[in-house]
Amino acid sequence: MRSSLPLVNYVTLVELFTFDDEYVRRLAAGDRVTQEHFVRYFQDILLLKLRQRLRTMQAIEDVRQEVFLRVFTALRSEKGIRERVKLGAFVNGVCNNVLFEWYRAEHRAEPLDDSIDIQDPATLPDENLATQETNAAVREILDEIPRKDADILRARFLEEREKEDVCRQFGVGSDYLRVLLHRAKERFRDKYRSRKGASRRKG
Amino acid sequence: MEHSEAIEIDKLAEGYVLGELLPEQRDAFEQHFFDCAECAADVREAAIVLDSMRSVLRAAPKVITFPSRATAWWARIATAAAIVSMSFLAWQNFAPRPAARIAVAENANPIELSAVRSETQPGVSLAANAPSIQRVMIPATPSASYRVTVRRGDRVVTTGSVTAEQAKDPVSLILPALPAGEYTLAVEADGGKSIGTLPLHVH
Repeated sequence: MRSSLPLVNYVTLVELFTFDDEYVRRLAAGDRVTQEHFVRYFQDILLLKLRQRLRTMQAIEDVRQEVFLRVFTALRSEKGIRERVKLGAFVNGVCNNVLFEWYRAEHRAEPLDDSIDIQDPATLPDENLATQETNAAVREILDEIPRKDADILRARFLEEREKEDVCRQFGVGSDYLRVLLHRAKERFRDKYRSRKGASRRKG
Repeated sequence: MEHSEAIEIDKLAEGYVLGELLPEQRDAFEQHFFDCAECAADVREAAIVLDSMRSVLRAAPKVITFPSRATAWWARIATAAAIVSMSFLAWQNFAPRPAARIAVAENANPIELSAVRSETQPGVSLAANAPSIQRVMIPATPSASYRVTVRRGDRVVTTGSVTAEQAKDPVSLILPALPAGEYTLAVEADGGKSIGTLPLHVH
């Protein structure tokens, strides 16, 4: 879909838009619907990236706002952006620049390489993507998984123990958390879609 | 990173949100999913599930108990021996008082817990990687429940709750095996009011 941009349910996302020339043209022209979609789409993606780099919600919000400001400024300038079909990559590039400047301003000398701390997912800043609905679905999933797996998740994300420590205690490989999250995500898709379907039928 | 490469890597989205990717792979994947709605949705979904897990787990704190189901056989034997010896020591040395205090298994003399440190609290010395039982007498307050937390610095290691009914009698807090380090055991009433804290020196 190109002329009207639907609200996208990211949990059951099927691509219904493209960041093509027409989209960029509307965005640069200040079209409100396009602008709202753009911000709505990238604010979560930026959050996912920034919470792996920054430790506070204030810092994340500051950087995110600056990214949007610079992107819109660039789009509306005479030059525009060079490769219009790579709008996402452009946003990511702007984000990297803003992050670099932020670190410098905060007296941190890390360039954007492997010396940057990756935020421990057990201790992420408070803003998250969970909602009451998603929590309800995940609560059911946690009730259904083997107790050992529930204990592993609890040890890692409630007790905030180091991953290596948890894996050692429970005798699992270092990629086991990834496996657990993947399984939970698959179950979540089924549960969340069936809930959405049920609520639509009731509505 | 091309899309075909991204979907070939096993559980890439999960690895990303868990912070398990190497910096180069992480950066390459970000550059990709900023432009790929399908991969962005996968990452977002994994993050939603992860965030919901944290929310759900934190809403239902773990009761402090031992042995856990995942405990190694040697730790279960050590626990049984510890419980027998601690029970004997507690029977020999414990005398109830109105003020909150902790009867330490390895220390025959009970230690009073105080929310206001008028003097340096020496704390309790515990053996590393061995379970322990700490007896606490919680003074009567209007609180309906109490939260017991063991922290290492700012990190919560384990947590549990005690009801007002349970707090009428001495409470045995069964702590899991802790690695060597400095910890703080804290008891808080509803609303976060501190009832008392006790340093735990684990050697």
